Amino acid sequence: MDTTLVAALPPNTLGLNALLFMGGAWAFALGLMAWSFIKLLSTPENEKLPPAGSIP
Amino acid sequence: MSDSTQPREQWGSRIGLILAMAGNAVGLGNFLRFPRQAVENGGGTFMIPYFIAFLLVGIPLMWIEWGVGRYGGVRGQGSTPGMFDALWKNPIAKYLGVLGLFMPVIVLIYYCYIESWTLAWTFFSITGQTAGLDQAGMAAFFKSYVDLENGSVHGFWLPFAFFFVTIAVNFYVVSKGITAGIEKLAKIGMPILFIFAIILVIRVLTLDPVTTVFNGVTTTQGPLDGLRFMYTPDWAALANPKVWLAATGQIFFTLSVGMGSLQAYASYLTKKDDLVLSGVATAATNETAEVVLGGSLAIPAVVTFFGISGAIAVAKGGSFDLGFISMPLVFNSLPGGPAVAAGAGVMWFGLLFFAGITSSVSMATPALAFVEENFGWTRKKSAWTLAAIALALGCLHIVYNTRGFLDEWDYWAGTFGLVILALVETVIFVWIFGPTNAWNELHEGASIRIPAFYKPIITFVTPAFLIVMMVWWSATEAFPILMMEGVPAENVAVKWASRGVMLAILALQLVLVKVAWNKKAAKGAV
Repeated sequence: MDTTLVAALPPNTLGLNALLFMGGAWAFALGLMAWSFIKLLSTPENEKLPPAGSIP
Repeated sequence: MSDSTQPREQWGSRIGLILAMAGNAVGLGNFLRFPRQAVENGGGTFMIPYFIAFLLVGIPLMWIEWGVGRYGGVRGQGSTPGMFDALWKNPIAKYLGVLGLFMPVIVLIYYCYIESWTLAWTFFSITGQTAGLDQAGMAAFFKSYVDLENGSVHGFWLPFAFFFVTIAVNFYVVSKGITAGIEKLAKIGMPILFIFAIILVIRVLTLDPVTTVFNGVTTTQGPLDGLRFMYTPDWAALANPKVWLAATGQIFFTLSVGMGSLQAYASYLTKKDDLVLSGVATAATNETAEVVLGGSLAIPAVVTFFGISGAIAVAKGGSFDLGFISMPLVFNSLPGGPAVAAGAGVMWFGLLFFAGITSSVSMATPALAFVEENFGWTRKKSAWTLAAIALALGCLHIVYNTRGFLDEWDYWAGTFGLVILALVETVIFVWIFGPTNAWNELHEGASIRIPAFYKPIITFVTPAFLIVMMVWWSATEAFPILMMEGVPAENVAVKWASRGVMLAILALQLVLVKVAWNKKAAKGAV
């Protein structure tokens, strides 16, 4: 990666570009995990879709 | 059908299953390999091909492996020879399935050796053996442990002792079975792993900036500079096919697909169990551990204390240097003295140990299921027999680690082989079993429906990605490695011996599959 871009900002600064990419990556991972676990918890283990092929 | 007279176990709970599956996926690579890959392949822009590969290859393969596993499991088959044979009525199918026995056994053995390092360093952190060491001292401490030929700090016996303990703990867990062993470990180990990681991330991200001198240049930097270093985009990287393949490779390694272990775990599901939503939850848990926690630990910490130039030097040194040399140095530099350094060390190596063991127990599962179901062995007998084999062969890794013995196994079984098995299982499940049959199988008992656009992705895009990866890796890596280009002359014999042992294991497994199917034929079960 281009380290000159990193060195151009004052110390201990994230910078807008890095913030956008990090925020996007975190939002994707955390959002998908939160969505899937909320969906799992709201779906009782015995509540399933009808068997495959049973819906015309 | 299975020869075993014992009923197949089932997962005790859905959360236990997801934690065990996530534990299988979350490994050392989440915390050591991912940050290096991101830094070396375009920083923030790496995340674009990374998440595209996650959606087009990772998630589809996760569903395929769960589907293959459950399809085999409900027919009494807990390993890929039986699963492939059930999906494809062709004599060759069971032999192709040997890949899913061979690779987890091979990886299990050397992975347990690396896992034993994390146990050793947890012990060293508690006893303060790494306290006060400078960079050269820490490097010598690590090299002495992993290179017996040049060991000068540790006793010769020490790596063997920690490896023995690691093998004993692993196989004690798997000998207890799915619910009482593996699921219980996941329910304890995964929360501990996440708690340790969250504490360390908070501590690292709240560090004050530090002024350092590297190669005569004085700089001041903090943890946010580490995140900036890792996430600042390099747009030119997107045009580089190597970056896309590195991202796809990382998705492969991190989700533990193409190994045979996910299928073995999924074989303990029933027809009524959901695998679509559970597969997504498993993959998402792994991504959180990797991107949010793994990406916020090592690089920000190393940049804070060594500067960006120092971090680049560390990244070039490899994942193990990052984890076992640089991180203990970071802990020694934390405010608070030796007690804080010891506590941080215990949490870091403890989380790596739990990440490792929740993965390694999954690698033992296919081979144990195979002998239980086809030869009627008990779980305890099969577990402790495999433990003895792993212990004996693992000692070869300890002795010849720096001569390339481990590298051969890691490349052929732990890297290249993954793509081969993933491609074979995708072809068998999607193309031979049939896209509609596969689609219906995935939706049996499902809590959610897979979006329709995933059907062409699973049928065409995922296999295309795998073929491109296999061709690229064959041309750029596999052939030069096969020909031992650049290998020092004194290591050539060790590498050939390493290949010989691997081939002997593969041959033994092929013979065992033949014997098992001959037994079935004699009983009229085929």
